[in-house]
Amino acid sequence: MSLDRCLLWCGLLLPLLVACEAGTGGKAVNFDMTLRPVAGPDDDDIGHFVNDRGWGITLDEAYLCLGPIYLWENPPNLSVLAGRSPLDTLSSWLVPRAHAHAGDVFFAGGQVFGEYREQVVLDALGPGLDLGTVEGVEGRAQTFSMELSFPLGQTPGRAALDGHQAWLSGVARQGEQEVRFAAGFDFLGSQLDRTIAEIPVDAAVTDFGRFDISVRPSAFFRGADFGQIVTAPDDEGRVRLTPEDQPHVQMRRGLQRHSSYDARWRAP
Amino acid sequence: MTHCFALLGLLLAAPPEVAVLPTPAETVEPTLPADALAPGEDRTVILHAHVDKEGKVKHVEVHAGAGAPFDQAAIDAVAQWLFFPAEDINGAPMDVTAEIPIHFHRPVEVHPEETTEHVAPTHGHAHEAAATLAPVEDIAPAPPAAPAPPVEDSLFTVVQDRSPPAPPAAVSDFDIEVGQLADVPRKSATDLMSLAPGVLLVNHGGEGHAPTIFLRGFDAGEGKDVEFLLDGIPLNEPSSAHGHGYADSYFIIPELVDNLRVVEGPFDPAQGDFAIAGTTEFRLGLKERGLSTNLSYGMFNSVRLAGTFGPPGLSNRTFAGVLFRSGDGYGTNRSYMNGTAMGQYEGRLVSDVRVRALGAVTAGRFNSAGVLRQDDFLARRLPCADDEFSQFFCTYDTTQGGSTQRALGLLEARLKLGPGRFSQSGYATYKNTHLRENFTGFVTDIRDGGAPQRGDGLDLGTQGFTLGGNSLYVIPHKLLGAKARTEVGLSARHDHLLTQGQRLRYRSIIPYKTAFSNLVDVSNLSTHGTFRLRPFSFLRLMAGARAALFVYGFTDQNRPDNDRDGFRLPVQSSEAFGATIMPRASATLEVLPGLSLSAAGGLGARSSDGAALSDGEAAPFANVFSAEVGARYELVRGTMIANSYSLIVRGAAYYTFVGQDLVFDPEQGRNATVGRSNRMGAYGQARYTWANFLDLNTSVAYSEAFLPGPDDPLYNVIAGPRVPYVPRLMSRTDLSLRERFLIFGQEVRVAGAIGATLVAPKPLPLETFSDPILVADSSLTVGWRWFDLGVVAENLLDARYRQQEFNYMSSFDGPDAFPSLIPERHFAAGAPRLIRATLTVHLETLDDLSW
Repeated sequence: MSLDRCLLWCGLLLPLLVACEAGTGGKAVNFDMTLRPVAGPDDDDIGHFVNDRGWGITLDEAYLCLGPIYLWENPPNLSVLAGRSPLDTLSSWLVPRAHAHAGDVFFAGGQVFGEYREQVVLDALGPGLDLGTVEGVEGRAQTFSMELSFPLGQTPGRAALDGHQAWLSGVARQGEQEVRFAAGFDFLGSQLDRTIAEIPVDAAVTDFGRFDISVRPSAFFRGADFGQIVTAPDDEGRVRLTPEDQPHVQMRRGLQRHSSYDARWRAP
Repeated sequence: MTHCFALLGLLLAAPPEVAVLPTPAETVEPTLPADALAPGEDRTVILHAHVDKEGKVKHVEVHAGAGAPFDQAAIDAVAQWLFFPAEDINGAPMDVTAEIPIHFHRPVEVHPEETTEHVAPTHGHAHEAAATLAPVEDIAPAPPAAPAPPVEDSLFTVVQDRSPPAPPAAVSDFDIEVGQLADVPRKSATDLMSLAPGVLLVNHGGEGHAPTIFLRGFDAGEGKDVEFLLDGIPLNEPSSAHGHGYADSYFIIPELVDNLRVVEGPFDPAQGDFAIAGTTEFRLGLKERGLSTNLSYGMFNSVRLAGTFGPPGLSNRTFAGVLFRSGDGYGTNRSYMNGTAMGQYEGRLVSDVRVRALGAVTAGRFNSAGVLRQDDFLARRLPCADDEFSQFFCTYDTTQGGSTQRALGLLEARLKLGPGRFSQSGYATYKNTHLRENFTGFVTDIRDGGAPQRGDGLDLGTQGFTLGGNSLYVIPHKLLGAKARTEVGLSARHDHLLTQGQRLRYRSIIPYKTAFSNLVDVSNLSTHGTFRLRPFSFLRLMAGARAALFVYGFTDQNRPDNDRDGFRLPVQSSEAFGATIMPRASATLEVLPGLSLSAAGGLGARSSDGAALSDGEAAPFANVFSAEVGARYELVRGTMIANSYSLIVRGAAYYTFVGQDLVFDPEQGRNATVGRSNRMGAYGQARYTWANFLDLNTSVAYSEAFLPGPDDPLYNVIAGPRVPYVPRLMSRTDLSLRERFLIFGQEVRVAGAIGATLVAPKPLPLETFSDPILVADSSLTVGWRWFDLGVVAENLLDARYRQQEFNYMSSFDGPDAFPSLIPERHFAAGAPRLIRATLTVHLETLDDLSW
């Protein structure tokens, strides 16, 4: 037996003399992650739907640059309040609890149970993407976050974004009105601005599971009223929406709104 | 040149009431006829000397002779010696008769004809010491020496340089004589700590950075949980930028460490701040008199040059030494260069006053590779060549490293005062350290607009001084007819430090943000009282307490310059105050000759980090309670070095509770507080020494450490997850062999030594284990006449091991990359095999300055 082999056996046997487990808690896991566009329950199709302002929208293009994606331990802040029992509420009246945070940390998500550290350009009218196997830690994730990031040089499909972080184009119709539109969206402010945080999920992260993230493009158009456009159409009759236009503001909010996204954990 | 070795072992025919043995303060070496000894011959003379209350030798007689020339030479010399007088149980000087064996040895000559011309008296080098109360074996007078070439009457004398220490406070109170185990290769004096069981030293910061200490289930960082002392000078730095309690002992010259005291646990009331896991005190001394120079050169351009000088005739505690180290370092970014000068004088000021002056100056600079992500190493995507060696010893950030400038001084006086003995010391230290580290890459600098991160590099600077003093009064007395000893100590210390942390731009290391900037003033006043009682010959009791008072003055110079009310000054001061009392006690039962059982318990405390205090706060202490039971067996046979052997075996089991523990925070690059913790374990240790031939020290230690949650009950000591990274099972063995051989009629000294550390897989986060570690260092030296040639191999087996591992979030993929928020394994690579050649030259000094 070589010396190295001898040492290896010694090393393997010694912990058995002590204990079988390290006892430090936690477990590293690997699981798959997918990103797919879905239609809303009342939508005709992913790219054909009517929004809450009565505009029928047909999308020609819908691209988002997403990533990184993190699975967090803590539930959304609002769900903590919503989940209170009457007794909890009474208790908080009698003995108010003091809260403090660092000021620059809006959401303390706790431990991260999984992460996808790349960025992808999602064609929200396409079949979706398999993001591959990612690393994580065993535990129950109650929220996840995604970043609407600026596409880096090597990111495939970035040309479709026309230099923005999200790009939507199509036709909106209401009665006789028809508006051909295109809009690029940038989230270059703080990290809070570009991060879609606190998306609720209930994922018991384990080895070999799958985390399916769904993107609902119709939700981006909630509240968009294409009759309130101030920008003039171009020579081809298409309006390049700007932040001065109401639909642009609403679509921007829709992109940032956590209800535009959802996820499910599929156990192995 | 010939050598004549004289070995002095001081043996006291002491009446029972002697409390302090006489110790030689000034010695004169015997003048021996040049042809008295044949090459390789040994002779021993045993004298009985009457030493009076003033320490003067009044009468000398031969108890066991070795022949007239030797007897007369020994008498003539010892009659001129001057002693620190013996003291009785009340501290009064007293007349005693001391038994003094003197050993002469002459090595074999190479060319006898070359040795006939020089017979001038010289001073020799002290290699061995002996001081014992055991009965002296009879030594028959040796036959007359055969005619031989003239012998240079050089003498090896050794003095007993300090009073016998107080009995150990617990089984885990180790008084470790370095002795022959100095032959085992060690990077620094700090590594001598591994002679105590359960001590593991690692270094993630580079050659010159203080090592991280693991002891008794503690990750004691760079000193936060271990009190460090350099012969009376405290080394821990409160509120250091690099971590509260940072202690740098790297600069201490190993050749000047005579012994060290390691107390594992807080059991002695004399132990002070930071004595959570224990205390280590380096005690200085140089047995080898004369001038000695050691030069070594080896792989990676490593150079080590050490020089020591021990003035003959003066106490072993008088010496000077210098040390220079430099090298390219293994792998990337590990070059270093540093130097240290140390000196100490001990002598008598007047008859009963002994003074000691110690000074040290050190400066150095080093680069550091820092830590590597395990996934990057396994994927071979580190920014180095693709081969395994380059990847394992790579670095992310070549700007990591640091510099150290330090000066220390101590003045101490010891005297008889009233019924007891009093000592008073004062010390001053100045330090200026900078450490540049990058543990996380690009994680912390998240900016608006998605701009690239600038980097997480940290420049941690600590600059300031410490002034302090220690008083100790020891009164031997009797209580109800039983022997007793009362000790009262007072320590005062003030630290004034400027600590700064700046974030640095990646590669350019230009500061872009002040992480913290604090002006810290910490005053610490402590007192302790220890009462020892021996009600029966088989029972020793100790009880005492330590009280500590801390006052903090803290100025945060990095406050915002505006708030909701507009402009404000970015400076804010605060004060805090804290006090604590720490009782400690032990009982030792001697059940058989040499075998004792002991139980000990005590409270210890770590002061607060000034950076974590609020204004007006009653500064909280990290309190620790520790208890242990153990056994110790000691066997000593023989009184002469040449035929003596000793065996010490001990073992103990312990439990430790810490109220507020600290763990390493990679984002801050320093330790941060967590909750309480429980630790327990056991160890066994044995040391066997046989004459000047063999010295073996071996130990096995086991420890467990848990971090209970806030809801776990106090009595459940194994609740919660284990503390990761802490070794649970480890072993350390040091072996040194020395022998003299006759080769072609020449006496040749041969010495071999090996030290091996085995660490069983350590628990790591996420239910994983580290790889086992086995590292062996060895040396082989061949000496002839005045020089020694040798070779030193560190990590003889060239093991690839991760000397320190961490689990935390980091991102080294660049300023644009998205950071990983999942903790990933990181490691600091252990050094590969390093082979060096060594040359040591021993130069004797002459009393006669003429040519």
